[in-house]
Amino acid sequence: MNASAPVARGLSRWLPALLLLAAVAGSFAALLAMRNDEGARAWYGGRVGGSTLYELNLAFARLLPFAAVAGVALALLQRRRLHTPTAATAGAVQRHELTVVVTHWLNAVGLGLALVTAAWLLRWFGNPISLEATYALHFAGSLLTVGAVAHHLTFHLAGGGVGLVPRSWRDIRNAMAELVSYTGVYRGRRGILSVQLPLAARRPAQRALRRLHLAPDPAGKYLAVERVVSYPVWSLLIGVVVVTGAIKALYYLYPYPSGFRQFATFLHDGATIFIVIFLAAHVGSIVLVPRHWPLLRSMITTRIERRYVEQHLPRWVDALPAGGEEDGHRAHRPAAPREE
Amino acid sequence: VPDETADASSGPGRLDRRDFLGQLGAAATAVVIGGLGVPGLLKGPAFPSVAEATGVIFPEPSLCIGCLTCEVVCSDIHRDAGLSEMPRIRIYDLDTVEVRPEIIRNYGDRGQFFPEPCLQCPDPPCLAVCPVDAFYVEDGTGARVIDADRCIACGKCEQACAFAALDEQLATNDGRFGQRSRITYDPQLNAYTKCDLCYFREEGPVCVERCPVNVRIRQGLLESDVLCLDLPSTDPPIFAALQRQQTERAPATANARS
Repeated sequence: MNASAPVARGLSRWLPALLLLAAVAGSFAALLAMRNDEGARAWYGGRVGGSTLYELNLAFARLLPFAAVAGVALALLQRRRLHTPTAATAGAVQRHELTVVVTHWLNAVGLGLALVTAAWLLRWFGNPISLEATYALHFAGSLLTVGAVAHHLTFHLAGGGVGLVPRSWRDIRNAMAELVSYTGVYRGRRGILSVQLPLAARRPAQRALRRLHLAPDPAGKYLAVERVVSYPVWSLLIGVVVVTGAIKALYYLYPYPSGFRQFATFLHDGATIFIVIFLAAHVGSIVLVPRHWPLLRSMITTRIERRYVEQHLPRWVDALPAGGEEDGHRAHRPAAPREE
Repeated sequence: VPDETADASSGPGRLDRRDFLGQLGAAATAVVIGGLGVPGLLKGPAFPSVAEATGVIFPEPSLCIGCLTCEVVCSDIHRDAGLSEMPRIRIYDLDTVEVRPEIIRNYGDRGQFFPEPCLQCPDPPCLAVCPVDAFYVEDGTGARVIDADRCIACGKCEQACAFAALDEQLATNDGRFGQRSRITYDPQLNAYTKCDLCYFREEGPVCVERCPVNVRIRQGLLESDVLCLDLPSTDPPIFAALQRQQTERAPATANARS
């Protein structure tokens, strides 16, 4: 960028704040617009649109664009953090930006709300609360998710953070090997519930896996399975539910041919089922595999123990700032999982 | 607002071109998305405009003998058509109904009853709130119909229905379906269902055809100026009269249409 572009710098400086302001103002305007609806038409008994449910739909449809704008604006305001070097101390290094952690959990809460209420709406379980409250929670969760997704996309695409994108076929092979490692077949990589297969079982299994070239390479900042399985699948599923949900919601303001909404509903519900399945796998792969617990901690505290990085994410070590050696151990680079 | 000129990789005071373009692209996208939301603030709700039904089930409570034939034949005919077998019309015991003397003369004192059908609203709230387009307006009759295959049984239509059902404890039929409005949940299909005016029958609604009081009136064995269950063509006065009858209920006297 030419240094003599004060307009560009001014735009870059003020546009995010203006966007955020517009998103807040738009949200207020959306709620105020509900008051105008009351005079729009008295449906039987004076009930606007027949019911509170209709009003909730309208409110959601109106708020939706502004939730996305707010996510984009907040991400633009925070984008400089991506350029901050990874903070490190002798004992721990920062694995995630704070904003990434916050976005992850906002997404979790939003998606959780939307999923639980979807399960009630689809009658997978009995609904203990009113239908109005169910839809209000469903929409609140959806707005959170939309905002978090918009933030995530902007923060990483506009900021250049693409560490979770798969880079090579080798990543795919490593991801498959990582999944296989959950069986405890590799020495030094305990599997689900810390299981390690007995040597007699490991040897023939490892021979077979070697023929398939399935032996995980040392990992970098992100595990191959995170880059190849977790992130792309989550992106796809959340992308589908967000886009189809938006299509369904906007019908209440901008009616379009009904067949389109039926198709959107089909995709929305289908993706929801896959999300439930994938969420179980996502949580299971963390909770049931003890060697992944530090990864969960890092998604809460942003930091991860340097010792863990050296042992499990050795390719990341070179990229880390020196953290001193006060804790009495040197960085080492273990090879691929040991085979017998 | 952070000073982005300070964090650019190209050095202090300079803004990295790729970074700037990325930010600009994101901001432009946000402006477009926000712009799409603005018209929604200015316009009112987009109510679906649907054709009116050609007819509507119009009961005359003072002629009802509570025989439940309408409920039974409704259930049977729909089951035979491969649809939900829930009755689309319900009969309730309601002691405020004045029974006509000729009914008591012909049938004895059987009690007082109040039929509750779907009103096939001109602007159906049930249709408008359905999140999955399970509702459609049937071409031939204009009936507001729920497609059970599409229905996700969320219950919005049942709740949006402007015409509450009487307390189900008063239902003449022993069956308890948890019915709260003119739309009924069918646990077997996990779908909601409502009166479809028997659109699949050339003869029209089976309840109107088989009601024993109607049969007697048509045969001239019972004197009445109206049918127990009638199918007048819908027009504003008819709908207004039916709405009044079905919301006020008492006193539901002879010929609510007058």
